[in-house]
Amino acid sequence: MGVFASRVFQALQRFSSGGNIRVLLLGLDAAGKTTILYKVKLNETVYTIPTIGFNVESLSPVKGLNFIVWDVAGQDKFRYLWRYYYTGTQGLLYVVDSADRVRLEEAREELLTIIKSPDMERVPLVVVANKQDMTEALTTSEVADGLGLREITDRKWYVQGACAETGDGIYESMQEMARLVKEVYKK
Amino acid sequence: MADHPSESDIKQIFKRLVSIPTNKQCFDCCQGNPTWASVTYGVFLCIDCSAVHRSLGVHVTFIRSTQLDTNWTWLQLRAMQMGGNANAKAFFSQHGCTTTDAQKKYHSRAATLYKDKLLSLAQHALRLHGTKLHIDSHHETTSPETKEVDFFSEHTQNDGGDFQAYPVEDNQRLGGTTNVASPKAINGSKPEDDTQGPNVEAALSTSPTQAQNLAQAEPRKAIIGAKKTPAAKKGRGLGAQRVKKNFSEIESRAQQIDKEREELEKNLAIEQAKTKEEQEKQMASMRLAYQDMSLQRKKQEEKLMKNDPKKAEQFERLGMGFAGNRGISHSAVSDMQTISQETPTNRGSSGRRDYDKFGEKPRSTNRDFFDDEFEFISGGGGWSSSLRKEDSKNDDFGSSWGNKNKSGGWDIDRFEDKQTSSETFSQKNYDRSSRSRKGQGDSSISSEASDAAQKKFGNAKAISSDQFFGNREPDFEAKQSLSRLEGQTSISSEDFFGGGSGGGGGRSSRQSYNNPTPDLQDIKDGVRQGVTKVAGKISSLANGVMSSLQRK
Repeated sequence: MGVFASRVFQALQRFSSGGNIRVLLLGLDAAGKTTILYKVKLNETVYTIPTIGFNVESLSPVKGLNFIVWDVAGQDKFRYLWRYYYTGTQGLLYVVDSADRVRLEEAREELLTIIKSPDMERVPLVVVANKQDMTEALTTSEVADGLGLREITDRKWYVQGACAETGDGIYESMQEMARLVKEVYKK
Repeated sequence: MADHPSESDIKQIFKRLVSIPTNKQCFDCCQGNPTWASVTYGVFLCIDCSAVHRSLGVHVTFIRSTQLDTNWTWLQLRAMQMGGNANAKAFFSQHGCTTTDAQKKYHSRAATLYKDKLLSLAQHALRLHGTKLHIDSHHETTSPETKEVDFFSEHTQNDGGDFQAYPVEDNQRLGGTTNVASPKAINGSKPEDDTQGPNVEAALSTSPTQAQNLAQAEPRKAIIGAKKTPAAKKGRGLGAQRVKKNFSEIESRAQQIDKEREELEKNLAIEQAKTKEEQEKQMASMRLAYQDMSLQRKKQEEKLMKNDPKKAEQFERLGMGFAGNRGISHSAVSDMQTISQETPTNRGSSGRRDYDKFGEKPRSTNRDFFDDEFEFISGGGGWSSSLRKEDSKNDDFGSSWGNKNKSGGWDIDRFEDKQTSSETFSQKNYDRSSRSRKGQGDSSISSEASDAAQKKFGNAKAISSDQFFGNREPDFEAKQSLSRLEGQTSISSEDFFGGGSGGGGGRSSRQSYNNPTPDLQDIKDGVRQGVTKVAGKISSLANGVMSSLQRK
């Protein structure tokens, strides 16, 4: 009986989940994923420690849309787990540390692996070029080049320069995500 | 050399490193069993302190997890092996950096010094040991005291380090010639003896006597004495003494070689850095090519102003913007000649001009020029190339004119021609500048040259695929899309891709989508949310019923 009830519940949920968008928040370690998540959620700069596992929050940056954002840890060992979050994802927020010139290539590789996955087909991509306040930060266009976004033609993408600490560009990227998601899944 | 050690390698290395007592505490807060590490400083940290480090930025300190990161490089591992909490602590305290404030601590001079030193050490170790798992220096780290002395001698002063590197005999010879440094030299060599044998007392006793000797008269004698005293004392001991000396000699020689190698490496690194810098500069200059040009232009114009104020004045009057032109109107400037107002009456005589135009030979070239001009103006589209053509034409024109006679009419004609050409030029300039303003750093409009987003979007805060790819569409549309984006710090993918899928239509649909639909969308969403609520309530009710049933 319990199984039946849960199935009913699931069906109801599916029926009504139009407003819920599943968004994955990925990126290398120390890119600022958790900071961004809680900046949007609480509108304050939280002091984060390295995420072990994941954080999940429901945000509504745009009226009428509810994002379920999964912020998964970015350490090497956790990257193998990212793929288990792909299924059902409707938006990919990819955070890059603009000041980390050395690991931009690594970020590019990881991004390519993510979007190559069949589960992530057509999923719109918003890249957050974080830490723009740093003096040695790459510009948004440099990040776009470094990530090889030019080669990504199979989906909508968007790069936004941002600073999670001050919140600059964070809301813009969320709004853009909302717009892209609406556009892609309306069809 | 494999760039990436295997996971088991990393595990083994850290198992061994963490077994060192000093590495069992967080470098910053002394919490036990740290599992995070700052590669830059080769220290072990707890998760809380790693968070602090992460917030400082990767250029200050780069954090990895000893357990969760499996993509350590050999260089990073070597840094951890050469470093360690004990070394870092000793170095920091030696340089008087005792603050616990992470901001100050890792921005201090000591920190930068240690960072550089550790990097060179790690590189050296990497060169020496390749991908061998455990290296010798690892053992040194187990006894922090010896290492401490090592650091001291290497870093307090150059002579200290140098002296230590020399063999013992050398040391003493040097001591003889340079009086002041000698005690230090002996002190420097002392620790080696310390660890190796019962030589300590001898060394201790020699250093003051030697100093005294030095203070007296004959330094040469003192050396002999100093050399003999330990030897005499040792004489009672075993032959092992000699073997030990040989060792130290060999050791010191090896050290010397190491040092030389290190220096070579340093030089290499410097050279590499230089070339890198140069490359970067080149890149930067490429990016700033436009700016450079305009700067040059400005300079030229300033020069012009000084040399020929009249010309400059005219130049200004003709509306050839000083700052705005980007190396387009240069030919006009260089060809321009001062126009005197001697023949104001001729200005109105269009008849003569007409005559000139059709009757004389140079006029024909002139006509060509005008034709081109008109084509050019009406053509509108791919103007960058036609502009170039125009430029060359203009040059020809100017030079041919320069050789001709100088009647008043001619001057006027030239003036008129110039005026038209300058008008178009300024128009172009205006176009260009306005466009670049709209494009927010979309400085390169000649489409084939704009392969990279960097060139295209300069300082734009956000770029989207649409903008990026759509840039290949005709100028007009690009302009439209860019003007739409004016004021925004972001660019979206549709604007890029727009060109491929019939740009205008998609864009307008999007705009209409943006404007009127939200209301409808809101209503829909509202309904949806209501349904969700009801669904949630029903499901919870059902759950409650089920659970109560199950309980029964």
